[in-house]
Amino acid sequence: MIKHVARKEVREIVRDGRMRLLGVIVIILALAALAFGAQQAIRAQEARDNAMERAEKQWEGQGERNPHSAAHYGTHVFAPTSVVTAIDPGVSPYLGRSVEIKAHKRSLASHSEAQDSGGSKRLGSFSVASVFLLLIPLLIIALGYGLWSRERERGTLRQVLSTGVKQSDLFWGKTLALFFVVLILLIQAALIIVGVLWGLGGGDGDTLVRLGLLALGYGVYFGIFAGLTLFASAIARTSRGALVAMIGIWGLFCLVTPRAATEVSGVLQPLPSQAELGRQVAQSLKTGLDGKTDKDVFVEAKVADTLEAEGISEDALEFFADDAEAQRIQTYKDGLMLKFTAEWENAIFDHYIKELDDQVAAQESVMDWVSFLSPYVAMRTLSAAFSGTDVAHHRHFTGYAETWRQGFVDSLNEAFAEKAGAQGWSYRAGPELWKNAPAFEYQPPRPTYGLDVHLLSALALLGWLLLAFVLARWAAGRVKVV
Amino acid sequence: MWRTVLGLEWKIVRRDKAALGILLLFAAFVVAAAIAGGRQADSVREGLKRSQEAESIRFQGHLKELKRLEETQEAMTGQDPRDPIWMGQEGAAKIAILPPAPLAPVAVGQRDLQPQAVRLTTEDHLSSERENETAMSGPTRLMTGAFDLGFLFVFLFPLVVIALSYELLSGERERGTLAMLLSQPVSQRALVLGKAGARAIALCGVTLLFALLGLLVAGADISGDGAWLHVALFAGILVAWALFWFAAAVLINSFGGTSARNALQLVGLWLVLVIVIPGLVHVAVDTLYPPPSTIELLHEAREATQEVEGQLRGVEGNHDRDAKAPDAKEQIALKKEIASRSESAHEAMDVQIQARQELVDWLRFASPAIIVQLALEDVAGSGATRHQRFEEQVEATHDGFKDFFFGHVEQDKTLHSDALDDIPHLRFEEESHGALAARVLIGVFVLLLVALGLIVLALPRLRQIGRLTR
Repeated sequence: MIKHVARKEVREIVRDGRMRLLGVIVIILALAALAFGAQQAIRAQEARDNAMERAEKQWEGQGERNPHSAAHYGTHVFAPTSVVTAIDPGVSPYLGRSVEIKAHKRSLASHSEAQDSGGSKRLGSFSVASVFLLLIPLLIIALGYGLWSRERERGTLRQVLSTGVKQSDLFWGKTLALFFVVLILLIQAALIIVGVLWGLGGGDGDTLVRLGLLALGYGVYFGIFAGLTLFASAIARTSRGALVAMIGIWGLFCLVTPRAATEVSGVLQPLPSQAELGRQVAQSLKTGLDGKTDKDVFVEAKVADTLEAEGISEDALEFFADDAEAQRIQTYKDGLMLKFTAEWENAIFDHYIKELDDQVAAQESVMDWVSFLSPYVAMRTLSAAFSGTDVAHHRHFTGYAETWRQGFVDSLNEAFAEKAGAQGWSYRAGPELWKNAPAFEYQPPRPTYGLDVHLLSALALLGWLLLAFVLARWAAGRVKVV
Repeated sequence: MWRTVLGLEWKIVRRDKAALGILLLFAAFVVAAAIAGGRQADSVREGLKRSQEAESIRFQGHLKELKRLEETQEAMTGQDPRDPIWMGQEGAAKIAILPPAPLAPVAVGQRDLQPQAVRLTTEDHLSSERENETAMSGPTRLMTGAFDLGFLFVFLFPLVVIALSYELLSGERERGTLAMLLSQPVSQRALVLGKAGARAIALCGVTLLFALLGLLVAGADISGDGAWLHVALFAGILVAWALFWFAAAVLINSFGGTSARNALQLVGLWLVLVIVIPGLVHVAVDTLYPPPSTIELLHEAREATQEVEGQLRGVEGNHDRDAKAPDAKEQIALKKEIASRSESAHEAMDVQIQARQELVDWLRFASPAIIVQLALEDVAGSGATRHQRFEEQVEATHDGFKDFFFGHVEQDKTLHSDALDDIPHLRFEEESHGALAARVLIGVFVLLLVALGLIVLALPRLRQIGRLTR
């Protein structure tokens, strides 16, 4: 019986030319968004490759100079791009794409796409994700709002039930029909998406896992709207009422809640100004995180301890005052000064940047909790996380970039300490050293990383699906016949 | 007869709990959005105030120190206010401010993406000198956009109009009251337009009242220069936008469909105009004129000046106490060389930004929602045109600032206490009221014209009385 009901509902939807048209329009929009996303992803990849190549050339072509001067000259590293960004660019356009690497300074990622875009970024986003997050739910509402209510208005519900069909069979039949129609529409889009991403070089295992997670997430998300639509259709007195109520709920979930929630997250967890952060860092660089330790005292003590441990006495400097050996020891001492200064600075940068990252993560965490108020927020969070375009992935990248910066600067300071010898600050290293600097080999986290970070959003999404299903099933048992 | 229909409908609206509920809920959103927008504007205002205060204290210190040094004639030291090199690089940095407009709480617009102030120094490019006293915004907040009046009016306001108007005619038919109403000496045209008119007046009245209340609570400066013009333009946009949607509802109702179908069609139209077309315009702009990458600019400047910059940085990274910095004139020559070599890259970037903005200006007519969004940003002083104007004025002042300090160096002059007031600084010159009003009113005019067109299309259909019952 369920099969018969489902077949009848599918036939009715398919026969409705407007619904067919609506479905086709939405799919065309999704594909247009994919084409644009793919173009953007290719451009981003090319821009990154080009920028990395140029940065490498600049670094290696800087000529001869002192290794520590080279650390001041520095270089830039660039956030990775992925073909999955063609589906969901997430927050990546609003995050810096490059990190400046240099001595004595930890830079925040800068050069975000949004800042470069000028006035057009605020017009709205157009991505596969935005079509899936905003338009497909509306399509589901349009397809399903009349599934119960229209039958009642036409009087056919009474007739159908008088034949002895169980209401549960009707419920499953209608649910299956809605599921089938949406699946048929989306499966074509999904195949094209996979094909396009494959063509862009996204045929690796990680990309496929990410696509699988996205498909699963969006499947649950669409299921929520299908369940809620069936519920509204069953309990509303008229089709009109069901439609208006569902559009209202859609507006609340997809338009009002996300914006209101980000305002609330900003109030609950305000971020400092860059100037304020800079002042705190500057103060701590002078007096330490405890506010009591003098930097110079700390560095000099560390240098003295090291020299003592290595059996090099300060008196030796006096003793060999005019000797090349004294100059070598002085250079070695300068190298140690640079090393311990960097150590001191790194501890302070790490502390404050971790504090800032934690504050941003706290804002994100508010959004995870808001997922329990809006499935849109839950899925938007997960979609960016599965695409590798959320804040957590960015933090993973900047964390690696900083670890690499520290190693990079250390290697240059060590080269100065070890090779400058009697030449001291006059020592000049050449391309050989620049080429042997540590390579920046960032590996993005595994595809399920986003799920670990946003488990709460995933739970909220599943909770919403359960709620929507229970409501739809409950309402189906109590649907009024007239 | 019109007046009678209007009056009767007004009574119905007042007694219709659903309509009242929608109006009150929206009014509450309006006040909340105004307050949220005000919070953001306050945060910027406070940040700018802190920066200005810090600058004022710094300059007072310089003045005092310069007077002392002029008396004692001490030898020049490291960070000496008489040294034009250090003063130009850091000591006498001047903050150039884009002041918040009177109705700043209306729309955050570009305010959270573009700098609201820039520190003027003798650095070649000022991209790293943006004001940074304003609290940072999280990336999710930047992506989502602000919960401000701009968002509310562009996105939610049309949905409220749709909720109040999708069943103007179909509702009467479905309730079975249409036949009775048309048996009175009233035409179907007067009935529908009268009902739409009453609802439009109620909605616009409530919205404007609460928006103004909200703006006052949010700290909008309605006593400032030109503030009332901004308020009038704001009201004009809102009314034209409401009329556009009521006209669309009248047209859709005139086709004689069911209420559900009307609602679906109106929501579809909303989706196309508010979500799809603006998204496509963004796509068109990004495809035709890709955003200029500041990373590219950075590389071009870095490559063009690698040799020159290398000399400067070589000194910077040398911690040897005996190392000698290049002399002042040499530094200025190097800086000028860097500026001239990277000039073409800056120009190319400016041309690309300008081309993008011109395209956006044209494509705004692709959707009334873009017209409204850009007009609201203009009224709030957070639009692209005002930011572009600010950038141009900053660039011009920056040139003067560099000339001032470079001139001192080239003429072997040190800075005197009476020269502090001569340092070029920016006093932002607003666009004339006429130019702003013209830009916004073109949008208002287009909206009204389209609304009129929709009504004209609906009138012949409304003359024909179709089905009287379901």
